[in-house]
Amino acid sequence: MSLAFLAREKLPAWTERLRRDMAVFAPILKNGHATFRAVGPNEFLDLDRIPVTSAKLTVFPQTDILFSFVIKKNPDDLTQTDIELKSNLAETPRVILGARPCDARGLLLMDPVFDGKVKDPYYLARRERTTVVALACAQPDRACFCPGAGGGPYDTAGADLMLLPVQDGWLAQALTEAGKKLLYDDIFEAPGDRQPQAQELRAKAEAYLAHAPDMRGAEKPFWRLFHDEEFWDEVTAGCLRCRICAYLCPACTCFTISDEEQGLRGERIKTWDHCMSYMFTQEASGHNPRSPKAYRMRNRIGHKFCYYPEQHAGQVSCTGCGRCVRSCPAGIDIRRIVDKIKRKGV
Amino acid sequence: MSALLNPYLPSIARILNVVEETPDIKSFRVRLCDEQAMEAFRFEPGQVAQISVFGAGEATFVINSPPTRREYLQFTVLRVGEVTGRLHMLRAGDKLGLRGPLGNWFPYQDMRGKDVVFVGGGIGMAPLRTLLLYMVDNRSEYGRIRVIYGARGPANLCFRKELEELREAGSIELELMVDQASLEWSGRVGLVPNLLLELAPSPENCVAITCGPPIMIQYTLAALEKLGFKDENVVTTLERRMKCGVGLCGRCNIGGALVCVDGPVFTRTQLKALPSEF
Repeated sequence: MSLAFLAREKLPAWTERLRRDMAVFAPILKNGHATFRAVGPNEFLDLDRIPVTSAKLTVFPQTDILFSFVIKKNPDDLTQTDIELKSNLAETPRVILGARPCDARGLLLMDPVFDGKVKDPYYLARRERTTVVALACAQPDRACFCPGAGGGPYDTAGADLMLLPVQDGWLAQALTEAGKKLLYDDIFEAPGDRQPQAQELRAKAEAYLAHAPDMRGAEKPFWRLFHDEEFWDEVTAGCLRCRICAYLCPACTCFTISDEEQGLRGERIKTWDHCMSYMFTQEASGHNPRSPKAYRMRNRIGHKFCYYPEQHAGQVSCTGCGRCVRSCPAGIDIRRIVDKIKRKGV
Repeated sequence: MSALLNPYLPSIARILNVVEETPDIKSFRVRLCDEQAMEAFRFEPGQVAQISVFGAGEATFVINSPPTRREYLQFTVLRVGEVTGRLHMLRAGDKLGLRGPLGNWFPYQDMRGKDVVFVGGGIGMAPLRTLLLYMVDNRSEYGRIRVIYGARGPANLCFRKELEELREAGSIELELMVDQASLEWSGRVGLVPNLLLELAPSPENCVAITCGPPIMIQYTLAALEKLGFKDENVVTTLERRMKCGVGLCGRCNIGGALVCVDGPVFTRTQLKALPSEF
């Protein structure tokens, strides 16, 4: 596969060039954190720090308007009303610039959920128009464990174009036609002799993650521990139900639907939801099948490491991105929970 | 409208009339505004629909008119929360949103030639009504049909008049009971699972179908087991908080099964294969 070189100082020019034809979603530095969002004019991309958020909002935004409604009164008989619904799908082509391999894999994990027996047209409208420029992780940190979830810091799954960091920029490797199209002649150069340097960084990153715990294969131990309330109480005790783990997770897909109304018009909105919230399964009658916090944690872990893999050839619903570990205010480490399950559930 | 392509987009339906069943239960009889869509609307007994009150949101209700009666679709709603509260304010002529039919249905073909016992509690009688009326409309295909139905008090018995008329017509046998009697109540007082044990219907060539509050279902399933009903002859329909209704939003799962698409109807055989998380 042929390589091209993107000099570090050409990144803004490339971003601006891409912005002409499509919406660019990339990590933007703000208040010391890099977070994914739609890039505005002259915004500074940060491809060095591991982004705090995942790239999933590109195809599955935090809030998404499913349709708007207007209630129309009949002027001759005000008790008679008509309801008009209008829905729009997002049809702008988009590119994720600087998706980490864990972000790209996250898209592959969400696809079977939203593109299964029932299709989510809002997700698919964006997904089908999204090109993924992935950035290999030369500097994984202590929270990272992608090899344990089936990926790797240089994994190309889900990417159209791969950027491999080198000292003065990135080597770009096109993996699909869509990726190749983004290698503009006036911005990219010949790779020169940078390949050994990229290889060296890759070997270092992979060695750093060589001992990541394997998150797969917890299905049977999970079932064995399902009714062990003491176990679930113990692993859940610290959880503050702040929801940050699900919001940062590139593989979490659960959402809620709610209405917002202003007088005679309004919108129905699909919003990220969180399984650790009491309200998630709270029924109008007052009954809640997952009332204790520990039952909700059991469901969260079960979904990612048992139910999902049982339905998807053993693939866990986790990419090992480490975001939930990095940002948990209570220091809960999902690696430790899965490890405990595997040790105890034998 | 691309209602078929967009699973989130409701069809608009018009309320033909509203029946006050009890002080806090109303039945809404609706037709889709698009007459062609209404004619083409097909469903099976036990399937549900998402009903929208635009501005308040959506909630899941069983279509409790049987597919054998097609002049309207009936939804029976207990007033408990935000959506049901707003629904109760609607009148004939008002419009609402409808997405459906959703979910699976009662295995009524497998019940042909068998005796049937319905065990209902409170608003749980609504999903049972669909199947009951379907069987009444195909009466010769089924054996003895017994209905055991309980509610908090006499005023809370839903479809009471209709059920009593069916008894008088000889279509069904009916046992009504209440948790708490009023002065004029001369019938049975107590809890449905206990009455079930007392009446002790024979499990021989008999299917039991139950729906009610979770705690009632739990005790009814236990009672049926005690009476010797085989797992495959015990059927229930579950309720869960649902949002999308089509298997995407992720909240109605019991283990790896989704109540909205793999249910809401489950046999006890199927329930036993799932983790007990009710």
